[in-house]
Amino acid sequence: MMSSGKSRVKMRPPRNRDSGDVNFDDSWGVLSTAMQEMYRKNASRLSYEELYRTAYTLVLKKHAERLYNSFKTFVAQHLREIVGSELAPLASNTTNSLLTSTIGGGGLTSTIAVPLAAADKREGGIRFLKAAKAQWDDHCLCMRMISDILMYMDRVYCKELQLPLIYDAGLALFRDHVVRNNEFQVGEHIYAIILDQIQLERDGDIVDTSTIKATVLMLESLTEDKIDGETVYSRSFEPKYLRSSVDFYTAEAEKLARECDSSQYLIKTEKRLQEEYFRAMSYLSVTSEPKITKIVEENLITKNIVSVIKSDTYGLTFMISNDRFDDLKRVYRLCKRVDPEKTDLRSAMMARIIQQGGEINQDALECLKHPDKSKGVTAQNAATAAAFKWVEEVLGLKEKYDRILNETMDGDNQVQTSLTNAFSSFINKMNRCSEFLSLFIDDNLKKGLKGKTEDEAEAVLDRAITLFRYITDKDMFETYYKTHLAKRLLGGRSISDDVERMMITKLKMEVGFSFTTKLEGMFKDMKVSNDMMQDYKAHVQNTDPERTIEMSVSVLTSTNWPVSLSTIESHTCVYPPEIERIKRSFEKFYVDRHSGRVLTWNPNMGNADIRVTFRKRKHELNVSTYAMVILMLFNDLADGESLRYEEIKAATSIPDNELIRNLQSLAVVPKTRILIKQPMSKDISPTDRFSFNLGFESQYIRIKIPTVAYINKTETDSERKGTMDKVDELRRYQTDAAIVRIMKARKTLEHNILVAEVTGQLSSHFHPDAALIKKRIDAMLEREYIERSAENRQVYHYLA
Amino acid sequence: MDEEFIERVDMEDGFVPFPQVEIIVEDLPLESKHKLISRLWREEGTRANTVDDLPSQQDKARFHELCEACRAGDLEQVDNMVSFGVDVNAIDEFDYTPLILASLCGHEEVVKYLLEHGAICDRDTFQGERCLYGALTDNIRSLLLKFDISKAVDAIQPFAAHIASLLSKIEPSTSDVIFSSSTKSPSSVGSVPAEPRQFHLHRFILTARSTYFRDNLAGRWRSKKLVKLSSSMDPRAFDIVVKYLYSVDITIGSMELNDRTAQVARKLDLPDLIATLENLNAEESFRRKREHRQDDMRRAQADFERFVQNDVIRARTEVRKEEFLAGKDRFCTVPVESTADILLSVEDDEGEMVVLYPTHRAMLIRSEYYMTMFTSSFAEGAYSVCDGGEDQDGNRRLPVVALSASRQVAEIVLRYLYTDRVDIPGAIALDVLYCADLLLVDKLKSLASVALTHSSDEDDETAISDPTVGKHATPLYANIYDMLRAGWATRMDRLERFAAKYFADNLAHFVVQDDFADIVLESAQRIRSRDETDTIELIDDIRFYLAQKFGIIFEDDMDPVTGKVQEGPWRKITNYERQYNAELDLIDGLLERLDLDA
Repeated sequence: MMSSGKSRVKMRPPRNRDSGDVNFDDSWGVLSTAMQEMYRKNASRLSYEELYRTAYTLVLKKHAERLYNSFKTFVAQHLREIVGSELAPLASNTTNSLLTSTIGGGGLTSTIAVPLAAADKREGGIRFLKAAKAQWDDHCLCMRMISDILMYMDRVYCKELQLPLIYDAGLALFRDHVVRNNEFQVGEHIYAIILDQIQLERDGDIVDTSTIKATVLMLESLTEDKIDGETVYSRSFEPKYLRSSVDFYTAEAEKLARECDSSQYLIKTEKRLQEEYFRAMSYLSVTSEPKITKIVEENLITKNIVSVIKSDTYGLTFMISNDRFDDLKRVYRLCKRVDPEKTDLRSAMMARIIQQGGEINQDALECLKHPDKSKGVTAQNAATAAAFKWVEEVLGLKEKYDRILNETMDGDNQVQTSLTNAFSSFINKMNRCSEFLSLFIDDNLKKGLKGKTEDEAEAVLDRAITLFRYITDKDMFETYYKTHLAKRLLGGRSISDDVERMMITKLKMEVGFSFTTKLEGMFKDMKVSNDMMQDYKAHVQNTDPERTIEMSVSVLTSTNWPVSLSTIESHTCVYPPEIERIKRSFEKFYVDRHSGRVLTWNPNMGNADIRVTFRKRKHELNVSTYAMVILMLFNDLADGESLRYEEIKAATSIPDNELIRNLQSLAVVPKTRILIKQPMSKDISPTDRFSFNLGFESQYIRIKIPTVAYINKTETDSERKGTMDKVDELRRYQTDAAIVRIMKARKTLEHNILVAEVTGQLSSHFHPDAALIKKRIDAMLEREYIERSAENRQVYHYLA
Repeated sequence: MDEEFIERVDMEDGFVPFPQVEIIVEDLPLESKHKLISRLWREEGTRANTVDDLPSQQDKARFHELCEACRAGDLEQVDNMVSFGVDVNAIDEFDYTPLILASLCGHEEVVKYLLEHGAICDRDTFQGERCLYGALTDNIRSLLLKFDISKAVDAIQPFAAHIASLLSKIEPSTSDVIFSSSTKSPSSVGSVPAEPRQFHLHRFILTARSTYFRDNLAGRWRSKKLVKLSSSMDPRAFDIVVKYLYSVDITIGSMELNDRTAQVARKLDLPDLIATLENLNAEESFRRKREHRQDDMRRAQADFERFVQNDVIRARTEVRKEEFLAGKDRFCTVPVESTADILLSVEDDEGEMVVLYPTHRAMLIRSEYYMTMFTSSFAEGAYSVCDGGEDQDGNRRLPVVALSASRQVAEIVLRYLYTDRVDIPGAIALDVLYCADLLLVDKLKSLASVALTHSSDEDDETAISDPTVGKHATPLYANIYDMLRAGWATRMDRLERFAAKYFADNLAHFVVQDDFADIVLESAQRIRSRDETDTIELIDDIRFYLAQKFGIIFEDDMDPVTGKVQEGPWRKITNYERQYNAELDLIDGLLERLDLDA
């Protein structure tokens, strides 16, 4: 061995290694006998020192490969013997019928078909699981010990060659020679038994979960070679489990749909979901949980939820109408599981809201057409009542759905969007929504909020704002609101300036500054007028201390106020000379201060306090300006004389409609009959004669004589048309303005983009239709604000 | 002195000599030299070991070797010396520490290694400041500055950590005596009555660490499993004493407890603990605290060294082999006062006697082999938990586990397991290596291979030069082929490299030997069994060392296929290069004969 260097003989060769090679078979004999003893649970009689050293020497002498393979052969052989002797006999007389019923029958019919004798076989199944588990435990223990003995091989040989360590190799052997034994499929038996147990539990029995859990843990410990993270559980058992679950839940879905009403269906579905969740968590694998949950969801929810929601008897409509919040919660939870968008639930809710909204709209319109005559209300009062009813019902509906949303659906954003869309849709279908809302506010500001605290008032206004948000044509609302506000301000009807301002602030917060500038302007006008009247009074005292007639004037900026107030032609009036004189004095006073301004008088909005001497006593009458003018005519008449309608008209040149209204309130309304009309009829005709009713009596000294028109009202049809026209005109201007603004900024723009931008800009005021925009673009082309591009007809250029 | 002072002031005024560590320089302004000098005097009393303080002649020699390696930048040699346990913070006769030398000579790797193995560079000390000031490169300087001393590996740490871990280790249970504090807590002024406690302790540790315990355990507590502490003993103070004995790092919350512990320490005659307690109180730098802690650990180590020498190795007994084998069970007796709980048996060299060492499972389990043995369900695991009882003379019967090694090897192993420190004579280093491999003790393996390859001691007669190899050949402790095979078998790269270098140094001699041809073939097969690349590790290593031997460093000059230095039109080949080429030819000739391709 050492051919050269005699002196090296001196060197003592390493002591333990000079014995030359070791006899592998002898050493292996020692080790294999020891392994057998370990399986017989006699390990405590074995010397670790000896066994370790034997294995160590084999590895050191380069026999690691043989040792590794011998180990595998030995363990494989042993495991096959155990299967043959311990497991196979147990299985053959307990699980055969079970196998055919569960595997053959798809895992569904087994429980129904299993007769009493099968119950014993189930017991046998559990026994089999326990036996397999016991073998598994023994095996693990032995592998632990063997890997202790072969520790040096693990370190040196297995790690270097990247072979499975002894323990892992031992587990793989168990997998291949026990679970997947090609002669007796222990695994298949185990799977069938577990599936059968699951089926039992699904049917309401109690099963031995700890045994199953232990078996599942075993299956999970057995990893698959070369597939990371895959185990016998996930490759072999789980697919079977999922397949049988699909079968079960397909049938279950049909059964439940057949037997249960919606409420029951929901409860049972949730119960199943929970059961499967707990099953997966408690004795199957956590990794199976999402999969099984998905199966249940697909079969029980996805397939049937639409029919549950739409069920005529106990569906969504029923739940909503009857405040079945628990059911609604379940619907929501289940829908959310299968569809994050919750499409079915949302569309069903929208449909229901639009339907209910439609009914509310219909009711309101009915109410308008057929007012409740018995209470003697006029058509206009009826309209107010209809508006009130509509607003209250819409708000009621809204509150109901808000509660459903918050209490059963966690305030889900998507559902909320759908609710908003649905409300917006039916509210805007009601073409008088703006008017109704404005009327509602008007009435509250005039009467409804009287005596309420600020907080209460604010709550009412907030509700109005809620509704306001849904209205797309906000400019329409603005028009109505302006008219109503004007009348409140001029008539001094508003209960409180603070509340009025609160309302305007709220509107401003909703739609912005531009929307409310004119409304605020109206308030400003009122204030300025008040101040000016102070000055004027002082002025009068200086110049004309003798004057007996007091006059109060509200000077209104025409652009801020509703257009109808400022049209000259319709409000002509010839005043009595004494009034005329004061009027001129004021005009002079005003023009002196604000040169260049033109005053236009609007007698239809004014009123007057006059003192009238009747036979019995004097009364103070509060009448409209027109009525005052009419009554002054009778000052010059002797008792018993009368004036014809034509005469009155000629003397005052009050427009016919106003004259008729005022004469009605003076001569027809029974309680305030200052004039006597001949003939006595309700309607005024040009041939009627009027005389002063000297014998008028009343218990009050001060009497307010309301003009028919001043009673709260919705519009008459013609008024409505007028309002619509005004709104349309305003919209044209706004559209024009928007087009110019956009073109000025962008210079060149394509048609479609322009339309989109205009729509965007205007949408806070109203919802413009494309036809209108197109028409206005044409108008702008005509007026040469913009021109078509020479190259592309679809492109516009801005003309400076 | 003045000159340097002025220079430093200038530096403070904006001249930044080390831009990479600018911020740190600002944070910690450099001190003037006279301040440093004055600090040096202050520190004089507490300074680290000088080379003269080192205990043995061998330690001194090794320290000088370490310093030399630090100058030269020989990381391998530095590693060797540190593995031997040389104090890396000692200073030589010129006040140099190894760290200063490495830093001054610009060996960044060595500096890093030293820092990681416990070398201290503290700005607040004279040595530390000098080290920084002398750093050759900015990299070294910033390395020195940023190194967090608390991350450093302390050479004694693994030993202390094991002792400390015994206090809490449950599996396997190694405690053999329980001290139980009285339920009646001592009346203490202003303190909460202490909870009664039980301390699961080890007789041998108490014996090793304290004469008080040694005397009492051998005396009045000799056969007791449970010792009741007197009611005047505060269990919290006793707890601290126990922690100190088990070399746990101690912190004490209150002054009162400190005083109380000091009282107990006086009573139990533990002067070192009293000193430690005083140090704990003193306001001191982190470095000083660390030094105290190291001192404590060194004392514990020294205690264990004494213990393993007197109570384990000298307490060995010998039995005739036939007699030993005749006994039915594997139990033998020890004197009743012995603290051992297991006997380790080896056969003596002649094979006639069996030597028994009384040892402790608590220490043996530092080897994973014994850990597994005692926790497994084999015979050793089973009977190590049962009490062997006593024989008719009142001696204790203990289980025996065999170790297949020579006496000397077994004693080396025991010393190592008990103390972490061991000197391995080169002559048995190969045996120790195999034994450590069997026992899965990696640190001992590397110590053994260092000892095996480090044979510069001229006096050591066990190292033998092979006269046929050449007069100047390095003396060896073992056959070079055996060393290489041992390197392969136990996966010690150091041996492989050593052998390759040895072959390279004496190539002409070896290349004609059949044994050499055999081992080249063996190396080729090792590779083949691993993967398909057709390099032969041994040949590659030898070529590498040949290049080193002849100072061939420029790869550009080498022929990419043969590896030889080429002669070009603009380049004359040197004499060394010619020799190098000639030796490469020798190798190629051998490979051709062996029909190998490399």
